[in-house]
Amino acid sequence: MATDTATTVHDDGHEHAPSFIDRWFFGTNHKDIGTLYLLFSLAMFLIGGAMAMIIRAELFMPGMQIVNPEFFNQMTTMHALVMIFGAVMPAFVGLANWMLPLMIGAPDMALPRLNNLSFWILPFAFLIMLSTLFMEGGGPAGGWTLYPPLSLQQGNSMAFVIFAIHMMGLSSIMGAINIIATVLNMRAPGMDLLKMPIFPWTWLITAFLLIGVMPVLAGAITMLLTDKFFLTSFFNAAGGGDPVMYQHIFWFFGHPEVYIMILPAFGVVSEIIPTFSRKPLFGYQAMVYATASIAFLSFIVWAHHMFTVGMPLGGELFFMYATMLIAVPTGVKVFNWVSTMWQGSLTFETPMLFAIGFVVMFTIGGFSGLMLAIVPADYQYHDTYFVVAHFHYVLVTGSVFALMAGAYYWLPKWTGYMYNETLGKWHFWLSTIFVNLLFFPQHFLGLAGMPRRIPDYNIAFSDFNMISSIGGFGFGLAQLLFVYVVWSCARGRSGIKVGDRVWEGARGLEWTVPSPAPHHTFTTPPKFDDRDLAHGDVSH
Amino acid sequence: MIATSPTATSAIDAEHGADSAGAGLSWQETGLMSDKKNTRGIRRTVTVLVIVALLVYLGFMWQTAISQ
Ligand SMILES: [Cu+2]
Repeated sequence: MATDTATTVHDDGHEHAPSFIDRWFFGTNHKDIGTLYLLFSLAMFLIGGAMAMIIRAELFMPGMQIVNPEFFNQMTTMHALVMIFGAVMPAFVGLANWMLPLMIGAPDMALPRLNNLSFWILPFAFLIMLSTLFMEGGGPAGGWTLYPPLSLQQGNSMAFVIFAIHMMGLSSIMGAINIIATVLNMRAPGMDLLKMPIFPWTWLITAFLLIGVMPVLAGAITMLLTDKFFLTSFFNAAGGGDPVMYQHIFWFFGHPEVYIMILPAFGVVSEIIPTFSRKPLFGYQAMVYATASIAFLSFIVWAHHMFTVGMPLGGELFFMYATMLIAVPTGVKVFNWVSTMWQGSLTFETPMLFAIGFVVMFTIGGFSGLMLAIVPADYQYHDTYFVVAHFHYVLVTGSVFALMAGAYYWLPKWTGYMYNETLGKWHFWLSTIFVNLLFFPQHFLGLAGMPRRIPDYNIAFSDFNMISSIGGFGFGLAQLLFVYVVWSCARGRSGIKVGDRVWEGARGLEWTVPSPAPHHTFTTPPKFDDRDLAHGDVSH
Repeated sequence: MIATSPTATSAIDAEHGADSAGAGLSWQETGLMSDKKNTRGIRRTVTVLVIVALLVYLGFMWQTAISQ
């Protein structure tokens, strides 16, 4: 493949004028593909959010008022699948596409055409999955975990759902391969792995998690498919199979999956907090090792999702202690974020507000996770709204808040214009107030015994459900403000053009290129000093 | 240090240790990448990862099948 120098050195400064179709459908530029991923995930965030609104509307009062129970169950299932595979994961891949080459000083991703394919699989996968809602018998309704035997009892739309999830998995694996290949082979001269910014680090580790567990999910749903349509009995007890086996395999994927959604969030927050503290990141290497430790531990805790299936005591103890161990590296991270802010000259622009909100509220979700890890206590919490409260703190005030923080942080770099700071702050405060109104009462509902995934409930749960629904509607509306802020920023409505280094305290290679970032960057290797990096001078 | 072979991975290892040694040169001249890409390294990375993903996929199904 090594070609002659004379033929390969070409001028990248030429002005492109590709047609709309060529640029957005067949393009291989990492920034354009990043934009596509981000817009797609925003659309999915709104669709999944609309489903959540239906759920909260039905739960506003006890009794059945708006939808029938079958449709309600399809909504809870689809809401999860859309938010996990359609909103959060592609959003972080979008950030990776945009920012990784800029942060490590590479001209593009290592595999640009694969990159195009990874993205364009997704809209078709989600079209197929969402279309099952209109099929005979409806879409999947047994929860996003697709547990047999329930998932084997639903209509033939199951085949479409499984095919769609296979496509999403393939897209994720290809994306992960691209990210690893890029980080390992395309770093600028002098960019040692242990000098690399934290966001590429967290993504490198996340990509290994993806390659480790997405094939496991694919295997599990392939066997589910053959059980339903090809007369096998992997998970069918009537044929000698074992439904609990499915749960083990699913959660071997499922637990690392939640870290796939949170490790890049850690990375984003680790970039933002130093910028607005005007200090290098505290404990850079500890952050890297903590991320790697969390990733390793994520593989040996899966059965904490199934303490109540009847495991041997030794198994329950192992999974309980292993799960609690994760609090150690996570605690290191929270300590380092707080220490970065300690004695810094803090300012509170919107990205910083979302990042601080992340640290506080993700920690709330972390603590309720510790409570759930305690085996005897879990017998009470299992399958209640307490679990729903827990994972929404981790995924909404955790992952989604970090995504918002990252979007505000890098929007000026992407568009060349500053966003509307007043509206950004409104978005943050409305989101924060309503999201707590939405999810905090769900802890109490769970402790009082309200099961998850039910369309109707005992009148004893009325008050907290009404508060939760009001919070839900408010949070949903607040996100429309975000859509407006992004749109108006992209259109340059503020009229405030930004320089290369958008934020006074920002460090790192991405702030050395113009804003908006030109189509091609780092066509020659960048020159940088270690002090230019967000974590300061890391030479020992 | 400038490597003569554009895809020599040993040169990559050496270059990554040095502070901005290749700055100002073209990607090819740094010896880090040929035409802005370290193609041999990328090929090797992709091959290993694809094999791992396939082994995990098939391995898990095989393990489940024989455990019944
Ligand atoms: Cu878990």
